[in-house]
Amino acid sequence: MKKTLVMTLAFVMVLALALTACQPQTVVQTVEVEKTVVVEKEVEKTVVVEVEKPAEPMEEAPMVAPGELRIALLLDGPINDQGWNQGAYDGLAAVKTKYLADTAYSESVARADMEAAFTDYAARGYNAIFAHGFEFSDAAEKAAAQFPDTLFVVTHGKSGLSGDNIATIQYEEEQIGFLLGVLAGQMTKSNKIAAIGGYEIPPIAVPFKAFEVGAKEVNPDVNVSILWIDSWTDIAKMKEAANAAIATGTDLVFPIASAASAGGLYAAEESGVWGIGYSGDQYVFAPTVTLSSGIVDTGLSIELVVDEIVNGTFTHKDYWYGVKDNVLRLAPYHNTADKIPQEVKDSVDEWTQKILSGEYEVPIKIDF
Amino acid sequence: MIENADAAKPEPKPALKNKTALSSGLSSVLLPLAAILLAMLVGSIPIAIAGVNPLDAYRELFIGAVGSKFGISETIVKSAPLILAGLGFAFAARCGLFNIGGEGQIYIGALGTVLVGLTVHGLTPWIAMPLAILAGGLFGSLWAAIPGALKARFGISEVITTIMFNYIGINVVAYLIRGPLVEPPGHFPETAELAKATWYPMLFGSRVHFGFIVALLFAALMYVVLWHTPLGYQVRAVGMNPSAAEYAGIKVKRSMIAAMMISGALAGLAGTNEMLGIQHRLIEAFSPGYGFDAIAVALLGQNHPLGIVLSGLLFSGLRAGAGAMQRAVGIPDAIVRTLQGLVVLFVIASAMLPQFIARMRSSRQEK
Repeated sequence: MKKTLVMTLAFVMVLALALTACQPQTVVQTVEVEKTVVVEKEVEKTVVVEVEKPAEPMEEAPMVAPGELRIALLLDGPINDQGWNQGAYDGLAAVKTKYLADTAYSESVARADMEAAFTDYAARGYNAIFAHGFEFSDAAEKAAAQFPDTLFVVTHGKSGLSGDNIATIQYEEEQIGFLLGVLAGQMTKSNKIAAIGGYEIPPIAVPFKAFEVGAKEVNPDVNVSILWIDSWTDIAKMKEAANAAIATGTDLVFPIASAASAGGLYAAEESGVWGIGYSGDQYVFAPTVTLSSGIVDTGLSIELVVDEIVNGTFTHKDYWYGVKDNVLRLAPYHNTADKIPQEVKDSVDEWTQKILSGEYEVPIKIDF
Repeated sequence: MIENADAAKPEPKPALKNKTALSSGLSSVLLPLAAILLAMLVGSIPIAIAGVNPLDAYRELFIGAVGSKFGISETIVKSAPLILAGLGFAFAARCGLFNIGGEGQIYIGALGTVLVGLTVHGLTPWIAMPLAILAGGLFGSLWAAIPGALKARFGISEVITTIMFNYIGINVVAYLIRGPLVEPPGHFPETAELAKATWYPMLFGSRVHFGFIVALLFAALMYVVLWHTPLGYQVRAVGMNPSAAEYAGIKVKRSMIAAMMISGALAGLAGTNEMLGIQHRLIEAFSPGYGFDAIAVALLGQNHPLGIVLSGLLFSGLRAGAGAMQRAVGIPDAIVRTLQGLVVLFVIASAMLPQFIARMRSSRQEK
């Protein structure tokens, strides 16, 4: 009985030896064979990759023929989060169709796995690796040094990462925050607005501060209180925070907290106060009271950087995108369209034009 | 060979020798592997539903774990924290304590290391690195001493306190890297980079770093302490039967606190490993649950240092391979995690199988 078990699991033993790195004399031979096979496969792969790559160095002119474009995307969360990560994934899908690119992605990449993910994709011959979130910055910098022929792009990445083959994508979030403030400042009756954020980091703090500036611009009496719930996922906590604010007279709730944002908009819908979404078009969470949403089209921004790569204009810099690129824009008013007075809509359009023409610059800047 | 070493040392009370540990060497390796195959068989269903040939997926998993230079180095890199935290869990378990607080101890240990690493600029690595390692162990052990003392003095279940201490530890770190320890100008929740003198040196021109050797050293050290020192003897005696140990004159409470402190120190060193070997600064979520995976590592390794080294390599290989599998064939993360969960489930079940069979046999004999 035991003998048959051992016989049938001969393969398992090979696996066992490889996995445990333990080497009894008798079976060493088998292990060697197994290893050579694998190495051969690897050699084959490397050859293929080299054929695909252009002969001249990439940093000179990263021209990639559309059919040969290979793009990988690293995400810190799931692709169906209705926000940050989903936007990037949509961008990757768009690139795939536009350039017939060979694309790949990894979801929910843990901090401990980031560098491995970068280097592995680079070794697999991807031309450019996009990473969606500032936390990828350090790992991208390390990988970029090891793979000078691969391009690395980090959304919201730290500025000043070293390497010719690395760039970041940044958003002029103060613009969209300001425009939402212009809208909100004219819609509040109680002059009490609550802006509730996930964590106090620049991508959230900047639009909030600009939001306050915008609201004050059109309504000097308005009072914007900025709160933090310290979570990206705790919908209940967000709802509680929003309800507490509503209980003290707040009549407009503006949450920015990734998936947790839903809680703020649920509270607005239930209490019948205005809500404003962010990141994606979030009116679905509060269909009757959502005035608009500040859309940060991360997918489009990725598409724009891929355009640069294909055109050979990609350089080591921070790519700033804003209202002018349509990367930042207001979502449609949807069901609140007839509740918002025409003059309010007009003033929002007016301020949009002022920002577009450069006549007005939102006085919120952050130096990274 | 473990048994030989064990037998070589005359033990005063043979009843205390753990005869089940690794006694059936072959089946303790074969059973988990059979379990992995079974888990992969079940796991191939969701992979196939995702539209990927399971054989392709598993080939990539194998290459990503042990079939390439990259895979082997990743497996070794990821094994060090699992081995250290696994040793930590096992040490407490040898004393009959269920320390589920490994994750929190990892974070607090990392904090200790980072506090040293941020201040020792200009020192030689020969002093800076040992200091940073020492601080990691010390912080982890003090953090675990609290649940240990609560258990010893008031009988409060360490299961509950250590779980809760996970949250406290993780959130203490989250607070510190946003407030007092944040790197100027304070845009991102992380500390400044540690002094280079504290970084673990890289080995073999890969991502493998000195931390793996540290982990092996501590595995050897733990073996010596458990089976060749009075402290280890006391800890094991308390773990097998606290009342009998007390009757024999062993200070049970002191042993419990000592076991928890050593356990916490080892887990803390897993945090040190991530700081000095990988991240080089304190950040949030740097541990993808190593403290919890370590429980499975220790259980599969039968709470024996050698077993833990092997099972740590097995789990890290699965982790490294799963990542490569996701990148190579593009299956969703949820399915990768399902597969990992299945493997843990089947492997732990298989580790319990011999005991289960023995119990069935003895109950049949009674009839």
